[in-house]
Amino acid sequence: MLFDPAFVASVHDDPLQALDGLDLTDAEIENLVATDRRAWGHDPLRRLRTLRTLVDEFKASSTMLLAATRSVASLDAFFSSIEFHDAIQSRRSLAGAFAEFLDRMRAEHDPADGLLEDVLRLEATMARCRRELDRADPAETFAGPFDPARTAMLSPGHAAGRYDASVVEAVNAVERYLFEVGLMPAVALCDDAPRLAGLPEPARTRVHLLALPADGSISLMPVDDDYGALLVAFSGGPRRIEDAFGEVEGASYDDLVTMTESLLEEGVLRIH
Amino acid sequence: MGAQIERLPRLGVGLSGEFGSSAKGIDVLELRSDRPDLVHFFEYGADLDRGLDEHVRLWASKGLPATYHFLDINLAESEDVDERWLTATADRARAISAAWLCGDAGLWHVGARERGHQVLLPPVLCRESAIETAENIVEIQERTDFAVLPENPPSVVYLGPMHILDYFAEVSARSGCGLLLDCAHLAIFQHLRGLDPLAGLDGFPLDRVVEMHVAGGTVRHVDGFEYIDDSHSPDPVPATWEIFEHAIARAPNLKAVVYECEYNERSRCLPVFERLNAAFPAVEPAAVAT
Repeated sequence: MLFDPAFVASVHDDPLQALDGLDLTDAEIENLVATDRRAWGHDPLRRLRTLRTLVDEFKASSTMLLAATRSVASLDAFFSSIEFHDAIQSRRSLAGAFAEFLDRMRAEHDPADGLLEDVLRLEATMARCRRELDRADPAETFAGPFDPARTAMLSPGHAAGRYDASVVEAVNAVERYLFEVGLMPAVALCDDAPRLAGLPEPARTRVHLLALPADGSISLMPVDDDYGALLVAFSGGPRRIEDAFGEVEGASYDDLVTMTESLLEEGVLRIH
Repeated sequence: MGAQIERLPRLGVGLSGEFGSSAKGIDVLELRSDRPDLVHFFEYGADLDRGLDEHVRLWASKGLPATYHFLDINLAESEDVDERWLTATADRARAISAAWLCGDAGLWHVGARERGHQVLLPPVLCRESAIETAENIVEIQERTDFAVLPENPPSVVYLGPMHILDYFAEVSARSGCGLLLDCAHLAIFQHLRGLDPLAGLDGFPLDRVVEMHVAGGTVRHVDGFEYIDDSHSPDPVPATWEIFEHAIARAPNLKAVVYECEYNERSRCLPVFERLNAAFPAVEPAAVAT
């Protein structure tokens, strides 16, 4: 209710309908409605401040979407969205909900062959890795000896995926643009303000990228396709090593053993 | 409870701060150097994301007293008391030789701990919540070896049937913890409920108050709705002073008073520091006499 005036109005107008399905007693609903409805809106900048924090992890995808919609309200609508309300009710990550919201927006605004889908997927992956890393228990990190019958998984803060080969270039282009307008934010008022330009065309080839911890944050590195395919095979969670081998094409068993031993040794994979 | 509170050191009057505040606002080291009679300790507000800044590290390296004010734990939610928070918070508090842990016993985030939620909500003021808060305080105290002082949080919306002072009295009675009474936050609560500034204090265990906060507030309006904003401006509202004067005369175990003003012009804050020091000297008058 602190974030969404429309929801405040609906709670006051018809509390039973607005709060239907929530685990609230009659007394709690009465208490909620007894609060002066004007009080919920006392901080008009709350949404913008929160949006700023969320956008910080989705700089490129948010910027590309804003370039398409030309409307701040299109992002501000997050706080009245089903994704936001679901996240609040289920106590999920707001960043995860924001990624889902952006993906819905993308489906509405992105040209079918654009890079935005991959840019958003990459930023969402990195946001998830940051949270995994934050919540990781170092005591649970165990490299362990190689044994194909054992179960392994990606270590916290690691994720692998296949992306269009231009995705990093696209992110870099957006960051350059944001740096440029950040030098003098008032240019946003001008008709001849810099516009987002110079985005690469999709390369139409796919590369594997590995998100991994570096200096307390998450960075990216390209990995060879055989390594990438092996890591992607572990992306769904813990699984038997030899089962994961079955999903990697074009690599010999001995090569897969060598790669897995290397990934265990470097802490990218860990024995579950 | 009594023994634990009595063992805590008397710190005097302190300045609040957080990551980077000494660079952007009042430099605590500079103020201490210029006016050692006014600032006797530094209350450092921290979360796991930002950690300790260079100023609080330097302050601690000089052997000056400090307290650790957490900004990232929902004391009313047991799932928030996780190993990572306990370990990192205790490590950082020890790094600055904090006398104790303290902080608003509210909701700093919705769901899992995550930066940038931009909320500091009070707990739902009901008995069930007070019990859970008390249990969590006991656990934190046991696992960190630090005393934990829950603080009544500010808000413009409070939910639940209890008066906020009754809520914290219940928390203290069940956990045995000392209390941090934020006089400015209480003034905000009383104003919202249309109560006298001192309402509820007669049943509040002032003998368990270890620390008090004083800060400036600003009366604001939204669509005709009036509230006091916890603006931390230099000037406390009259109700804050009324609560402070009432409580300090009845709080025998008070060890520390913090003036939350770190982002203001230093000269504007000196009169309040002087008034607080006059009311609460760093060394007990009896100790000076002997």
